[in-house]
Amino acid sequence: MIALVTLVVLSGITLSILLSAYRVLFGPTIPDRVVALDNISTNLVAAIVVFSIRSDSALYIDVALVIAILSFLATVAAAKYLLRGTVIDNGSAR
Amino acid sequence: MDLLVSGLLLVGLFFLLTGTLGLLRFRDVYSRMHATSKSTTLGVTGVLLAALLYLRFLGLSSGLKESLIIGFLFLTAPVGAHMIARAAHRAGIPLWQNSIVDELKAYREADHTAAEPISLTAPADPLSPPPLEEEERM
Repeated sequence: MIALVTLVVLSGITLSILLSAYRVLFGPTIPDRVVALDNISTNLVAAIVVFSIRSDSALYIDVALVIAILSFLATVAAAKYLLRGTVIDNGSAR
Repeated sequence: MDLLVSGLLLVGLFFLLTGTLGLLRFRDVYSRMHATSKSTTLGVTGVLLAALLYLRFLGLSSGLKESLIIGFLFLTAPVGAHMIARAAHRAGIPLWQNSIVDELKAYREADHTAAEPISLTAPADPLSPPPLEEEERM
């Protein structure tokens, strides 16, 4: 039963990632693409956790944690870039 | 046990798909972000609770890392969404044409006009030396 449910959930998460990829590719504005990429990475964390359940192993939880942290860093960097034009602001830019 | 884990997984999948549906169907950046940030947080929380129960039941994990990811997501998802929304508003991305209220724009426009009458010079103090000239103070 767990095998069937995890297969269904993994398929659903894959569908969700593919639908979000539409917004990344054809999003009207740049923040749309950033939001869609954030959504994709969050879905990816969920997919890795589901795969961890499916393979009866706790190793993939670490991978999910690292991807969650990297996704937050990427979102913050993109927001800083949209806001100021640079990522690392040392005071000389504007 | 299997029923509980499966139910949590399906609830998580429902919330993730709802967030993606909102990302596709809503009208502007801000409402899309409103859809994705909250519902994907709940979806990942459901999936992680399922993983916590299942791996804890099998004796493979203590459940600490799953709880850590849940707490991390609850902290960072609103912060990231707020930063993107602020950057988008600052970059001049327009709201949907039928939006009713834009409080941040009103606040920023009012802030520019309200900052003028406030005087930055201290009242005259007879014991202190005379104030500097304008160029030196700048």
